[in-house]
Amino acid sequence: MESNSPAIRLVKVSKSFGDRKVLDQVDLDVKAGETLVIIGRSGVGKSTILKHIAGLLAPDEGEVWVEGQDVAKLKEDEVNELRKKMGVVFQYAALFDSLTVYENIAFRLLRDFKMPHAKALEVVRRKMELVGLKDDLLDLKPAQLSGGMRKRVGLARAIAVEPEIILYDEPTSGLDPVTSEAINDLILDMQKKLGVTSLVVTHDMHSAYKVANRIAMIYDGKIIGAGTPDEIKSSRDPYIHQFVTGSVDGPMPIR
Amino acid sequence: MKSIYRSIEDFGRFLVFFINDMGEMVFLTWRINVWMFKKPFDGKLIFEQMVKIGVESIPVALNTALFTGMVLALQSGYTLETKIKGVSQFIGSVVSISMVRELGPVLTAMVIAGRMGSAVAAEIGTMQVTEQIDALYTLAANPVKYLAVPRFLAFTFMLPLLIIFSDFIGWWGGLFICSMKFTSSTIYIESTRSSLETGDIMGGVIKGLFFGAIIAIVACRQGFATTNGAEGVGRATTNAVVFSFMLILISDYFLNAILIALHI
Repeated sequence: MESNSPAIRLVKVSKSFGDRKVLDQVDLDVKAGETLVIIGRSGVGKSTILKHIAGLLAPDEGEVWVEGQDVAKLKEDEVNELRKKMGVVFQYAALFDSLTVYENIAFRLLRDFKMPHAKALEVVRRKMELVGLKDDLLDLKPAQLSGGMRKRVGLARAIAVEPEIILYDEPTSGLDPVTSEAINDLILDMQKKLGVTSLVVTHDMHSAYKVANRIAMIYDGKIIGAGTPDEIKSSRDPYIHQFVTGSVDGPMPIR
Repeated sequence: MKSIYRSIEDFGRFLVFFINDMGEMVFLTWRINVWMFKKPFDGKLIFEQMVKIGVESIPVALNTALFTGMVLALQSGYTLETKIKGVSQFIGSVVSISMVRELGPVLTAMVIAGRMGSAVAAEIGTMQVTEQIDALYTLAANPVKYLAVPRFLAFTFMLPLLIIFSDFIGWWGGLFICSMKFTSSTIYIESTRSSLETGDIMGGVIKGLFFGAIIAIVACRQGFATTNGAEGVGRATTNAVVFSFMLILISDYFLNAILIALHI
């Protein structure tokens, strides 16, 4: 793939759930190696964009291109092949309750890559160190972990197979400020150390300013503005201004 | 008057929902059968489910079968002795045939649907509402392959075994009551031997295969279709049990009709 073509490209993507149009002709490019943060209020379709990229949802109209492939047109095997280059960090981590921390992180290594246990354990230890977890957690079940730890395990699981793209769904929501900051550092680390392309969905502006190379704002199913963190911070668009300053007054209705 | 209309409306809505669900279940059955033969072979997962669904259900199956056999012997013995008079030598036939052909398969299936169908629906439903199903997709593991296939195989394989076990326990329960209250155990055994055929047991086992498949598919379908958090998980669990019961009873009649037509 050419180095200047985007890692992820959405072309006029529309999606409705029932009568509700969640995405309306969304165009979006994420360049290889950059971190793009999508901001917007809850329930405006931020996570829906991630699910389209991960191939969990198919667009009603438009195309979703990842690494030069049209996700919706791929067969299941081909999507799985593409997903090997992709890590997804879910909002509530979505760890498998019935499996241990080790089995969670090593899930794809053991099942898909047929890696022997000794080697998988080595990889898991390395990834846990990378996300700042001690390896005495290996045999615990997810229910025994705190929220912040789960998020880290979720991240370790996402990066276990050395992905080129990481999708983060609200990585800091529901965490205390210190843990949030640690997660932000991790996201920056992943970009620096692994050189991955990241797409982060959040409504935490502090986190957005910290990790983003570019920020795009979605409102009413459309991307209404995009730019560097500084550009977004000083944007004159009344919607963007209202959102980033967290103001009740402005064009966005409270309800 | 209004409440009558409303209950008719509700019934209609339920019927539409049920028929729609049936369509989805047929589709899931097809998908399970496609994925079953794809690699990798999840031996460990299948074994785990067989233990959960089969081995750990032995106590409840034993309890159900033992007391069903006992009450059958008591009721039929009483009827044969006092109402018809002097034909209590047929208790063995009555108990063994009704246990093996009907009560063993149906009651065991219902107990397993209540115990494990609900558990499977709740487990998969919780995984659905906590995005674990999405996570499976992103980790290149198809949920039908990873979750539904092992459960389907475990239910269809273990339920017939549990039914054979139940038949045997029920027959023993009947023997115990019969020898205590009515005739000697020799007459009971002799009466069983003269009337029970291998085909009767086979019929029960064939029913078990179908009931197992029904429970697995209903439970998995309800689990995968779960929405709306904890409330949805509760609804999925209830639906799994109610639909399983209904389908077990409906299919039991038609399976019986087919088995009789085939002289099994």
